[in-house]
Amino acid sequence: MFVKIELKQILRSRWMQLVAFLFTFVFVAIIVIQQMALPETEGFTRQTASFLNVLLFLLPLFIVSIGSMNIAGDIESGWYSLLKTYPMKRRQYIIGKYVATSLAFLLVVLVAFGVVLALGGFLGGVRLPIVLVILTLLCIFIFVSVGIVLGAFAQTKLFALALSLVVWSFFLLLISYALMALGAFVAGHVLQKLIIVTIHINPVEWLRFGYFIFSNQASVLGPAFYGVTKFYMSPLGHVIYGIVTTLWIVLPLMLATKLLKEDRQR
Amino acid sequence: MKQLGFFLLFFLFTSQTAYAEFDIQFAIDQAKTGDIIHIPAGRYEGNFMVKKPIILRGEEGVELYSQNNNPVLKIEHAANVSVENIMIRAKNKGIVAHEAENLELRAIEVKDVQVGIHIQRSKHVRILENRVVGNQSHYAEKGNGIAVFKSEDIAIEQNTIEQVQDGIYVEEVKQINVQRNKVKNSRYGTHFMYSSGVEVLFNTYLHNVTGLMVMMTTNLEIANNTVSSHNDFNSYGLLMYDTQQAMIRKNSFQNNRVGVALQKSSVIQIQENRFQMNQTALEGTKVDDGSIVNDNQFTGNILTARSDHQGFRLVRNFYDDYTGIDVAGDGFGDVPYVAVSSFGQWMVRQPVYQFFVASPSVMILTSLDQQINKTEQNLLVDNEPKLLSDMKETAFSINSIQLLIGLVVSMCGLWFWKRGMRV
Repeated sequence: MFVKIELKQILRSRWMQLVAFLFTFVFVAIIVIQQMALPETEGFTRQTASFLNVLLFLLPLFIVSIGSMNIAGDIESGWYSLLKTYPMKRRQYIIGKYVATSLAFLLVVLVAFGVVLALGGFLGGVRLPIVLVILTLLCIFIFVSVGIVLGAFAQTKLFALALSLVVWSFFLLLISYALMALGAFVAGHVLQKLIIVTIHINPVEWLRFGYFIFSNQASVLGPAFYGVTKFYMSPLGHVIYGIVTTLWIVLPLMLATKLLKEDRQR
Repeated sequence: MKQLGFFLLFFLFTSQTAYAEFDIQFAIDQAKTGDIIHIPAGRYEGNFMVKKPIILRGEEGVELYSQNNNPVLKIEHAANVSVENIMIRAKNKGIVAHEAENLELRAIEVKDVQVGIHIQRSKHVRILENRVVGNQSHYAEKGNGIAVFKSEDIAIEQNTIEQVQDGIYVEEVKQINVQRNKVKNSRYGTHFMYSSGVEVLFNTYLHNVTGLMVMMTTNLEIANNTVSSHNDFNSYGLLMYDTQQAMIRKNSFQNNRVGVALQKSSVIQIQENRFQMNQTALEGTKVDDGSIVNDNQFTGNILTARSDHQGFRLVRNFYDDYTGIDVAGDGFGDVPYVAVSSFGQWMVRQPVYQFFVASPSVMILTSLDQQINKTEQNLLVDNEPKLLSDMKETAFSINSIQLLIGLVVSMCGLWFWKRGMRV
């Protein structure tokens, strides 16, 4: 019941409707322009890079900002305090929020992919690699979780929005730039190890890395990462990838529950 | 019926081996200069030796094989030898020619071998329309498809080679023409070492570690080849190391990790090629000022060019990511195209940076670079970027199934959305 109410609220929100339109428009425009400009080919090309970057740029930004503001809005408006008077556990509240937000973004992506396929049909067919579809789903599941923990921490909508932007830019840009800058001072093998650590602690890099692993294009990352890509392409590596992905979903949700609990104690 | 079946089986079995009693070596030994030996269909085991000017011509279904490590067919100190239309299976080498002159090997199929055809210290050799298929082992344990050492005036044409170490390996050869061959799933498609007077024309290289590897070779022409899908960790479409005087024109480099890489090379002209959808189209380190990259088409590459501080000259190429305009109407952009990008340059110096290739952070950095580097005047700058591509436009076509699926999916999405709002 709670999930239904939440889903209704999210889908009715003007924010969400604008985000859905914007994401669909940008996603479709880039894919269709690339399809018209370049022939279809296998491997990692500018087309697949654009595809991947649109997903990694837009989707986390929208999810994290809307996800965090959703929770923070509940706290700020007193809706969360009202809900606490009902026999509902904090965990149920968090999971309900998580499911509703995930479903809403799944709908956004469903519409966007549908429009891409339909317009692609006019251009003789566009490829929508299954790995990218799965990556999109993982992106939603991970970043909804991250958004919820940010919202639980921020408590006000404005702070949640600011925090989301900071975290988004940190994951997407700042960590990479910091590593690139560090590369000017440290040896290649040190930088390589730092990057491997970053892959695991940055969900954007984790998803990007996953794309290369599961699409058998790990060579794009270069010979320096032969060892780590070879491991993750093995069955054990796949299992570890699944475990780390699950942790990226579960840990923020647990942290969000904890933050709400601490807030109540305060 | 059963008896008829047995009879047919017996017939099939005996027909395979019916002429296997024919003694090839005896026929060779007895032949006079210029004789044609017709080998009847069948399987022949042995290590055959030719030392005189004869023609060995197999009928349909001739197979020579050897179970030891010696070559199946050896041609030694002989002139005017021709071998045609046979199949060879060997544990080690298929055909070896040593000090042969006017040798022609045509329509030979060599399978499951370590080395297909091995030519050494020979002159005027023609290797035509053969097929070499190696074994399934690792590249390090394989031999080459066609290998030529210390020879002169060699033509290797219309061969198909796959699953070997180097499709065509050429070392210390003067005047060689490699034409219309197809090499795939091997380590290097064609590998030149210490050679000169090289022509590589109309070949197709697919899915090798590296398509063309040229090392310490001079005076080359590489034209009209298709070099595609070389995407391994250290892959290149064409890699030239310590090479001088090369013309690379009208080739298609598509979907490679690096399209063309020049290392320590001089007087190289890269002209009228098509670089399409490579991760990096061109890479140059220690390239001299006499080298030039002109009138090429760069489309869909993630990175157009990267180099060390020396760079290389770019002239009148078409770049699909050029954003300038042509007010003068002369067909060339009014502002220079700057291919240099910070990330590309870093990647040359520190290979670990490749991890970030085409990542969101690098895409933003490259966009900023394009604005900032507009003032760059020396490194990887094309002052006359061509504005019109000579690529043909693809014909308009509709994929109705995908169109229908797309409409259904998007309509379903919108319906669920509307329904979700009402719940």
